[in-house]
Amino acid sequence: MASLSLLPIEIIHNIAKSLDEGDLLALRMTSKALNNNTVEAHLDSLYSCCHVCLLHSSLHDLVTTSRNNLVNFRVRHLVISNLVPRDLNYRYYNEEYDDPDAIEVIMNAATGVLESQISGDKTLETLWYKYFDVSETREGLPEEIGYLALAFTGLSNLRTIEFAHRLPRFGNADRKGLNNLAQSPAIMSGNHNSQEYVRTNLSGKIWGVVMSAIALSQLQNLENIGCKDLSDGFTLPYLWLSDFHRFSKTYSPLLNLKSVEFEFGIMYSEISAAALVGPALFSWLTVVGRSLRSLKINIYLGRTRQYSFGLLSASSGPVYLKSGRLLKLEYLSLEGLELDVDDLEGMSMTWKNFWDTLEIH
Amino acid sequence: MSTIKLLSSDNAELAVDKEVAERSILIKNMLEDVGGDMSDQAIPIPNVNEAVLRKVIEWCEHHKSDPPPPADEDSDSRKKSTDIEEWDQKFMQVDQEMLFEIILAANYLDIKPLLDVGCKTVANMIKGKSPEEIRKTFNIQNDFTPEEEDQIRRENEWAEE
Repeated sequence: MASLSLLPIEIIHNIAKSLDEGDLLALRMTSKALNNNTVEAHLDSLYSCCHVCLLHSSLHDLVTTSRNNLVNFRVRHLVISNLVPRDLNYRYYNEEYDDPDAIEVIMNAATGVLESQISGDKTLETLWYKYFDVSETREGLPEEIGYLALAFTGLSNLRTIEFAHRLPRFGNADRKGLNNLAQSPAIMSGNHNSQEYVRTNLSGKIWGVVMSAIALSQLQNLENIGCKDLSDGFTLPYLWLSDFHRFSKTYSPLLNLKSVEFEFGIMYSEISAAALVGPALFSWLTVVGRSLRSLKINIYLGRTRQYSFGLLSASSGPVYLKSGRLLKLEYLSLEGLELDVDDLEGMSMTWKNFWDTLEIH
Repeated sequence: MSTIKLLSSDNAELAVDKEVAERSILIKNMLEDVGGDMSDQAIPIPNVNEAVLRKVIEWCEHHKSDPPPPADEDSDSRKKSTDIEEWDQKFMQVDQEMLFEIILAANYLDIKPLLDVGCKTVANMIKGKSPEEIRKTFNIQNDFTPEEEDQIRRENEWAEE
């Protein structure tokens, strides 16, 4: 007689695809047979998408995940949120992270991981105190970003990194044991709603350092980087993109990067700074984006989402896309950046389907 | 429209339109292998009895004009949706044994959309239930010791290195 316990494992996995973490945990706890058949699906469900906010506790948990060989390979999607719990005494990052030593800290983190692998000393604490000794000697260094860089070195299957305001997976459920980030106050199980969170000012400089961490960590499987709707108080990371470029030339390119999507809102007072973003970003893309198929960058002014091509182009030189390094590009959408059209026409001769998908405003 | 015959595990012969039967990838491939001509010979379906086969054919007849299902989605983008269209919901209102038999038959005959509907139906029966409620629903014997049950619970409170 057919029963749930006797179904073949591939059918159990098909059923598991429609269940969330809480349901899978409940199913695992019904019997030994179902536990054996659903444990993989449950772990994949728990770890395939991790959410972190830029808080010490949240990032520490991510590093722990990245060092756990049972789960680190399951992490494919990382959402970096700038939401933090309302009742937490968080720092204002755009002030705290204004420190040029940040890059050095990240480099030390990667070096630390390599050294620890050689020496066999793998405790996180040892690494931390050796390379991130911020509390005693470097007040104000971006230790959270250092943690992020450290985590990246252990998350080799990461496919997507997304910057987002929201934590959608946490909005509608009671999910005990959601993932090992549950210790972070930002994403503990329970009934959350937007009232419990505040948006921090995730500054452009932080964004630049995170992107540096991505380049530095050699995330060879990374396919998508997305950044949408970070408009409130978001400043563009023009200076840090220069550093970013330096890294991207020093370290291996992101060989599998297929999609890059950024949307920035800037204030009128920052237009001149924003003008430097285009050239820096495209320099980086030509280095790392050998497999890039889709590129979407939108820059708009203020909170009303008005695109103002004239203002930006008046303060910026034209952006030159280097066609030789973006041979696979099939979709391009740029808003708020000036693009050199002659160069585009030259490139279009080699781009398959290019004109069908081109959107330039 | 040409008709073929299917032979169930309990030796019942069922006539089916070829187009309907070809919702099953197994049968479709089989017919292609023999050049499409099986008019005089019944195709044996040894793993499926008559009652289940009739239900499967009923589903295939209703869905004979559906477009082919999309290629497998990447596991990253898999959907948690358990939406099932109304006709399929009614179709799946059968006793549990029949439900599992339909799922097994869909798996054997390689009818992915039917398999997905069956699996979603089971998933909907699991959703939101405690382990004890799931056991009751599916008549599962709890063979865990209390210590083992605690162990799983503990493992999921915090993934220790």
